[in-house]
Amino acid sequence: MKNIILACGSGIATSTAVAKKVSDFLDANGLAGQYSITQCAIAEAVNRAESADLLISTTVVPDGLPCPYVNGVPFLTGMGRPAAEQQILEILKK
Amino acid sequence: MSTVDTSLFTPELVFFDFEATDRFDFFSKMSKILMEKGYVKESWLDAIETREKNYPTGLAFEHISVALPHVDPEHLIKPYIAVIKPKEPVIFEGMAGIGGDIPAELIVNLGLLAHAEGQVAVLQALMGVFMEEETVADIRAQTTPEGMAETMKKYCA
Repeated sequence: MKNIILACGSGIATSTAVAKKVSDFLDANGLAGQYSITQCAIAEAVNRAESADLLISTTVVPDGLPCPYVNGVPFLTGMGRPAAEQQILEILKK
Repeated sequence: MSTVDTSLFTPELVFFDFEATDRFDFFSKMSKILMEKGYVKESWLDAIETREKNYPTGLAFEHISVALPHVDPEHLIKPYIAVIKPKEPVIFEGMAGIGGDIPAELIVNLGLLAHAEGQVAVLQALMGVFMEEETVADIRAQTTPEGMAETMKKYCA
C-alpha cells in the first residue's frame, strides 16, 4: 500500500479538489486499492511525510522533506498535468 | 461527489471594473464591502493578507488567469462567493510557486465554511469551469451582476 499525503494551506479546499483528480488518475492506471490518500495542512505534512511514499501539495513545501514531492497545481489548472501524472507514476512504481 | 451549493453565488457580490492598484488595495476594499454587507468579521483583512502571503492562490489556466483568495472560516459571519472582474488585472503570486506572478483577470473570493461539503464542491466545479475554453468565454462575456451569478450557477451546478 502506497501512502500519499495531499496537502494545502488548510488541508480542506484545494487538497480536496486535487485528491479527486489524483485518485481518478491512479484508478485509471490500474492502481485502485493499492494506495491511500491522506489530506492535511502543509504545516502537518512534514511530520506525516516521514511515513509517506509521496507528498502532493498545492503550496510551496519546506526544505528537507523526507519523501518525494509532486506539485499539485497542474491538477487544478490542467497546465502541465501529463508531466505531473508521469512523475507520480514513476514515484509510486519504485 | 456532493451537490454543489450554487446559492452562494449572488449578484450582490459580483463586481465589474473593480479598481485596485494591487492585491493589498483589493483586499482592503473588499473587506469594507464584505463587512458592510455582513459577510465577514473585522479580522478578515489581516487573515486574508497573511494567508495569501503564506499560501498564494494565483492560478494560470490555459484560457484565463484567476486568483481564489480565501481564509479559514473563523473570520466569516456567513458563507459567500464573491466574483470580481478587476478593471486592470491584479497581480497575485502563483499557487505553490507555479507561474511566478499571475495577473488575475478574475478574482473569486471564496468564503467557505470548512465542513460544508457542498462548498468544497464549488471549488472543484470552478476548476472545471476555468479549464474549458467555452465556459471561460461565456464568463468573460458577462456584463451584469445577475448574468455573472447565473452563469456561475449554471456551470457549477
